[in-house]
Amino acid sequence: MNSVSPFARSLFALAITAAILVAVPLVASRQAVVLITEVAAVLSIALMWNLLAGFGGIVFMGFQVFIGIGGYTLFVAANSLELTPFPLVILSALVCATFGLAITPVLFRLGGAQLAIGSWVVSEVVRLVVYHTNSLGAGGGISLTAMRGVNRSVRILATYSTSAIVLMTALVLCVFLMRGRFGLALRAMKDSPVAAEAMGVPIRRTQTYILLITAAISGAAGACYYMIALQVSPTAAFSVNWMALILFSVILGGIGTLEGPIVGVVIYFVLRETMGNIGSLYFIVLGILAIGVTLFAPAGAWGLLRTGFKFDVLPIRRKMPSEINLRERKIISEASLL
Amino acid sequence: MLETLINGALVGALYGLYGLGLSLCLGLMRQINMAHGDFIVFSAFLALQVTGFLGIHPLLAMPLIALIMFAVGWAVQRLFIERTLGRGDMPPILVTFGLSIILQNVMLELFSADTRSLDPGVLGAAAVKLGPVTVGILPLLTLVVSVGIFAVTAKIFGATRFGRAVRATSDNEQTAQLMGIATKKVFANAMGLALAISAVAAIFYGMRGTFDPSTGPERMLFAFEAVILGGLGSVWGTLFGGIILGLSQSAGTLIIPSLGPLVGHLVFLVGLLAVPNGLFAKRART
Repeated sequence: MNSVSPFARSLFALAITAAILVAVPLVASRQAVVLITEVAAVLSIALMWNLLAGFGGIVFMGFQVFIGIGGYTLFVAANSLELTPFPLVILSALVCATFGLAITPVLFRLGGAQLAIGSWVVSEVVRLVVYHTNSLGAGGGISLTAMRGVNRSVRILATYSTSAIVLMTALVLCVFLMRGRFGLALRAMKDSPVAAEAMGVPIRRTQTYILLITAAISGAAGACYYMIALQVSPTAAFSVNWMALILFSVILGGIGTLEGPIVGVVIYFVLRETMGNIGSLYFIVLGILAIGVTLFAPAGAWGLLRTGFKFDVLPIRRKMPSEINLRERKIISEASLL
Repeated sequence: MLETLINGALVGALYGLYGLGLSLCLGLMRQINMAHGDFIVFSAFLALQVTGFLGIHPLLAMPLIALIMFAVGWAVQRLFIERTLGRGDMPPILVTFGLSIILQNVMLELFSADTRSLDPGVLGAAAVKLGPVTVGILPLLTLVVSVGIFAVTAKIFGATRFGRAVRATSDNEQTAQLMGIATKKVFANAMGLALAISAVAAIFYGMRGTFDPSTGPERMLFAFEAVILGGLGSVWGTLFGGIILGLSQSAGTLIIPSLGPLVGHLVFLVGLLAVPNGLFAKRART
């Protein structure tokens, strides 16, 4: 396995994922395609929250705000301009990124744990504004009337494709960002902002960039999710249940790894599909699991798997340069002795 | 209009009381509790059960509920929060958010999603005329009790051995231990106190408004806003932060009745930008 470079291995894993996503609509039933569309949207959001909180240390607990804004943007734009909704996820992404930029002055006034509640306040403000705006359907929400003329199987396939493209973008972004300088800066910043700044990491800019990127992708994914539902309301779109879903899947899978959210979201959907709709009991079980994992197995399910396999599917770990140098020097000195 | 604003300020005293428990966590213990609002709602449900079972007035049930919530706070600190300290910002947020979701859903299972309230009895309708305005006895009582609790809390944390021990522990746990402080027990007691105060707030909340299992997060946001507006680490600041929040909300209801919370949130955000350290912030100790 060591003969393949970690980067090549990541590209290989991404290529396989892309191939599977292309194959799904060819082999799966319509019902399965709809389910996988939903999984792809939720997974994109979980990957982004993990990037922001798990790697960047910005524990944004009002993340539902981007899902809601993304959904509403797509609905309003498609309905009022009478356009095909699918390409409009790009607009959702742009609006969310702009909103992300607009809230940075408030957000970065609050550090650490306070940012968690502060971002929740921001999300509540947006929910209440939407709730009181009649042109946005107020409390009742709006439906995607632009989708009326679209044939059902075309609609399902196109929504699936959009969601799959968003997911691939999210995955590629995660791998490329985290393998590059930016990922290194991000993790340095999370471990110690002071030390990172001393090493030349522009803290505020790094934080802003990661917020904009994650906001944009989550907005697009939120738009995909509500394209399946065809209906968006402020209570559901800005619900704290979104945060519970994101948080529990990321924690269960393993926060701060790229594979973690993937495993977590799979666990979440497997539980949901097998346990059926038992509502509140389900959230109690997830909550207990999440607390247990945080306290006793912080690396999550992927961490537990990895201790067995010692293998990364999307490797982004780095060796300390000194460690490599030392080993090389040792080899050289041993060679000179011979 | 004057009456609305006065009532807003009196509701603000209740927000200050919500905030006081969180203020102890965030400001004095420097730890977070995302389930703060859900513990308030839980206390209100507890009070509903106790008053229903014993057939007593909610105010008489207050000491018992406060005592139970003290024990709950103590246990939550020892069992959950304590294990996450020293591991960065994230684990305490995750664990207390998990608790919040569990509490909400447990309450949903036990008490259903119906909206409830505590019966204030004759207190509910009683009012006094103060000059041109009529003010309810219950809101006035809330203010008096709040001020009393703030005074006691400020005294406890400013001038007793226990208060010093809490502040020493949050400044530097290891040094505090070296000075002979049982840091974990001290924090457990402080958390118990925070939830006991929240229980008092919960009973006034239950008598003056309605609650259901999903109203917790909003309480937490109000509490947080009161703490930050007043200035982190300042006990009395939280009361004034709460009153400002209450005033803003009542001003909002004058525009459109359902607009109160939104205006409150906006005033908080503006306040955060204009006075980042809060109105009564203490200068940072070095």
